[in-house]
Amino acid sequence: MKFVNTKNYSSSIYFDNNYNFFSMVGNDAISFLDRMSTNNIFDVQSSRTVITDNKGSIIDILSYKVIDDKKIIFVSDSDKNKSIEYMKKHVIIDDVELNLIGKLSKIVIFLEKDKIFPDLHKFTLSNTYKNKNFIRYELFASNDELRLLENSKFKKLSLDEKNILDIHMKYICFNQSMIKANPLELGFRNMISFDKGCYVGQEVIARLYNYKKVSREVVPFQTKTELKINSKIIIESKNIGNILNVQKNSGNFVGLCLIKKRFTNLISDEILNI
Amino acid sequence: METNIPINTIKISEKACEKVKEFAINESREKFGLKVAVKGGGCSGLQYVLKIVEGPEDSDKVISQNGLEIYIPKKAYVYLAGTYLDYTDGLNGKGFEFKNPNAKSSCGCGDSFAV
Repeated sequence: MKFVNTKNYSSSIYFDNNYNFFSMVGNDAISFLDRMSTNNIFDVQSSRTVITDNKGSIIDILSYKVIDDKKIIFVSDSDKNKSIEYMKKHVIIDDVELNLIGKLSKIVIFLEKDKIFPDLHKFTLSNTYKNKNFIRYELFASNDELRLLENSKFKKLSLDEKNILDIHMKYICFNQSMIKANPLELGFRNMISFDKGCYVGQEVIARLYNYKKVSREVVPFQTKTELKINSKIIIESKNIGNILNVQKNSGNFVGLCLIKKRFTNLISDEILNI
Repeated sequence: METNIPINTIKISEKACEKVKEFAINESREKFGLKVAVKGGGCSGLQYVLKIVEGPEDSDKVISQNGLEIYIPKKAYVYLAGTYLDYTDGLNGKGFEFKNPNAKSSCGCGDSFAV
């Protein structure tokens, strides 16, 4: 689906809000986060990881960085306390302390696929996401680090433009009002380790993956009808999925929906009926 | 299986006690006890911890059974009260096995549970 002229956004930036910035400190910090989330925290020192419940449903996504063998810093995608409280509830005998350190500004940079953002390592936390047109850098920066971007020649994006680019890249900004889904359905395969052993939700996620039982997938759509986030997609009286996000785009509405796989070929402008 | 475990204690079978002693002797330990605890993790959210240790920590509840001392951290006790710890061997045996009345569900291997 083409609804973005990629050349217009080949070097662009969006300044998001401030996010709460946490530390996880203690002798068991790395082992604890490894047991609570999908990524291999021992091997992958800086990335994103998914906190799931014991049914494999996403609670939150963390951007994290291992500082040393007793300290991890992280920011939660949803920026809500729910996942922090969830993790604290699971600290029983572990030597782990979770503390709010302060605030960091979130910045999103879109670059053409072949361009590289050279200052990435200078920021407190960062993530990279790629598709065939763009690289999407997500940075979490202190006030000092923000100065590194002062003289940059990026085109500044509005929230609407940034949302359209995210939809174009099939990038999902997780928030806790989103319908229940597991990380495989939302395409977070790259944040899941299948050989690290147990973590909360692992049994369900591993079974879905190994037996190829992931029943829904994320599909972009375009329609003239105004849609609401999380609303059901009904086709011939059957609920086939839900709207994940939606954005107005020159007279149309574009977005991402989570659809039962056997119905994905039905998603088109004519039949989308909410 | 033992079914009448008072809710304010945990019980360990004779066989499980013997097995713990056997492991401790193999490790050439003279003074030892069994630490039974719970930590976050495992497929279901909370996983059991079994460890042969020299003695209790200050915050441990100590229970004596079949000549074996069992140390349970107070924070873990709420998840373990009423539990029966058994040991099954042989071809179909699972090793140490927890029968925990607080567990609403367990993972396939039985190493973790949810409350």
